[in-house]
Amino acid sequence: MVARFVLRRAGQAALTLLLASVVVWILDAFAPGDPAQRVLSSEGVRAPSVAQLKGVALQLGLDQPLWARYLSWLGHAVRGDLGTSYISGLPVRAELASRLEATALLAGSALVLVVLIAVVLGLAAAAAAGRWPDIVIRVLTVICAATPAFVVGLLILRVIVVKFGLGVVLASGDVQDVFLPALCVAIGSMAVPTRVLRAAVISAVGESYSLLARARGARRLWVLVWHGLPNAAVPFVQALALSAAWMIGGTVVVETVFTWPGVGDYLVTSVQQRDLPVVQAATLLATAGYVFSGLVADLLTGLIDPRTRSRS
Amino acid sequence: MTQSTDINTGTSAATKRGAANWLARWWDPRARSRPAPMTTQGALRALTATAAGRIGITCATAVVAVIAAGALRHASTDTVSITDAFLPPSWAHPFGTDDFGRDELARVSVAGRTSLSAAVLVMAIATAAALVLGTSAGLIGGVLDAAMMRVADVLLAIPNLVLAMAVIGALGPGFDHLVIALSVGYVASFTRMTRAFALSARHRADLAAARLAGLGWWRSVLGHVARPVAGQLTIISTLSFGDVVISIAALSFLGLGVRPPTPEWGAMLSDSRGNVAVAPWLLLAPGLAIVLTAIAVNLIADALREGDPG
Repeated sequence: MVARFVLRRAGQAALTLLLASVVVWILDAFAPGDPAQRVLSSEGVRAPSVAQLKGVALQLGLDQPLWARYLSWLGHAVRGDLGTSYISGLPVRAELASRLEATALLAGSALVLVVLIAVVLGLAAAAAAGRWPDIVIRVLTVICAATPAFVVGLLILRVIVVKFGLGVVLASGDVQDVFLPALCVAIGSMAVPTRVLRAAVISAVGESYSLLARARGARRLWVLVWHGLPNAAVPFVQALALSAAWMIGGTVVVETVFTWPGVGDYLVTSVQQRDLPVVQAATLLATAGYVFSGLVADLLTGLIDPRTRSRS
Repeated sequence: MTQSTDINTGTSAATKRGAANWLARWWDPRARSRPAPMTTQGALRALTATAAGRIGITCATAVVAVIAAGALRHASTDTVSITDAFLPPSWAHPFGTDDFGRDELARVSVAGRTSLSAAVLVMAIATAAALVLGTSAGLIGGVLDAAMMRVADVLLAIPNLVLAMAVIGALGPGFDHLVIALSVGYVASFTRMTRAFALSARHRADLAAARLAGLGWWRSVLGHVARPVAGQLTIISTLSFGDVVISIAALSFLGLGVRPPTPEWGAMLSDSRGNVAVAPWLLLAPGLAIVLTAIAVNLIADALREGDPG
């Protein structure tokens, strides 16, 4: 039963990823300009002859029908060959692999911070519903939701790093530098999870089991944590999964601000240089991250609340 | 006679629509208590009644005032004068000047018009496309519906900012490409919502009644499916408007959006990075403009949604 649920959900995620690869591949295939020319100019050939263009086109398989080109690209991608960069001429996979760790560290730390901030602020707002701490937290979430990660990043760089000399301007991608960039990502993504947690805790505290606990003499705070938090877990996990898209976007932007040596920084440079094999690979990687977070959220939801296993 | 008249029966379209509404209320008692769609007056009341709405309107007024003040100034955004570089805020230059001695207020104003018109275009394209695609998917159903929903699902599986980057990677940067790139993701999500509205509208009694009353297929679909859906979509699109403004600024900040000579809030922030130690006001003006706009839009959307009877 549980195994079937996990398998079905994982199958859906794999199918989504496969279809997303079609979309990403089509973007490249229909990009204006001649791919053969792009490859040649990356090799330093300024004015290629017709014969050279034809030779490279044959080598790239551009004479094949679209579906055959997609299948061969997919076959290589599945085996870990993501093509070579137009700009550097190096394999995309090696570059991505060396940068993945830094991005995973940044995104993971940001997620931990979002959960911490959202649980503390959400519980505090629910405990003081309608009174001033609740209003202060609501104003805070409104401001944070409206402040882009790069504005927070520039402010942090200006105030904390330059003025007080804490942290570094050029990040190395190691653990000791991760706090400030992760905080930037977290600030931009914490609004929705905080509000969802607040609303869910308030509704759980209004249920009859909470009333019973209070009638038996349980303290208000105990009811809030013991009955409120577990019942808020399902909507909270789903809100986190929805915020994942925003967090991935924020990670890409923050990596550029802090020159964090991750996948996002690589993606931005290759979009600027129109280095399409890299753009494809990095886009697929970001999509895989988003689809994976949705999968984990659904599995967690199934674990927390068995009723949801039969649905979807 | 200004109204179109049916040749066969001689009744005007307005009478028919009235008859259809009456039939719908007779047929489905729930329709009698169904709240009326939000009117302009209702929207205004929703905005002024809540604190969120009032703060939102204040922020929106501040942004509009800055844009108008900059537009009224004689200072050109392109006049370069090195002797005036990095002047702190003063009466002559309320937001100071930048590294080329250009008036920052005038530049923030022009940049605001760029950012906001791009955001409005994205929303208009996404809403219009979703209205056509979503309504046809919901009403026609079958293979078309299934295919369109799968495509939408796949597009929604790619994080929006990353999808926009991939499209810009294929097309190249620039204002037009920025608008197209951001529209793609919103078309997908709005189409899904429109389809859900259209599906529920398909089985509503007022649509059946409109058809029974002799209204043509097109007219009944336009009046009884597309019109109510358009109202709902407008509210949903204001909810996403703040995110669009931030995404446009983010992409321009990364150098993937509006090209350098054209001022844009995100691009201005990116330019100010090297000079932040000398001229912190270059960071504050465009940064505050983005934040105030997003706060204004988010609060106004919240107030509208809470005030929406439907």
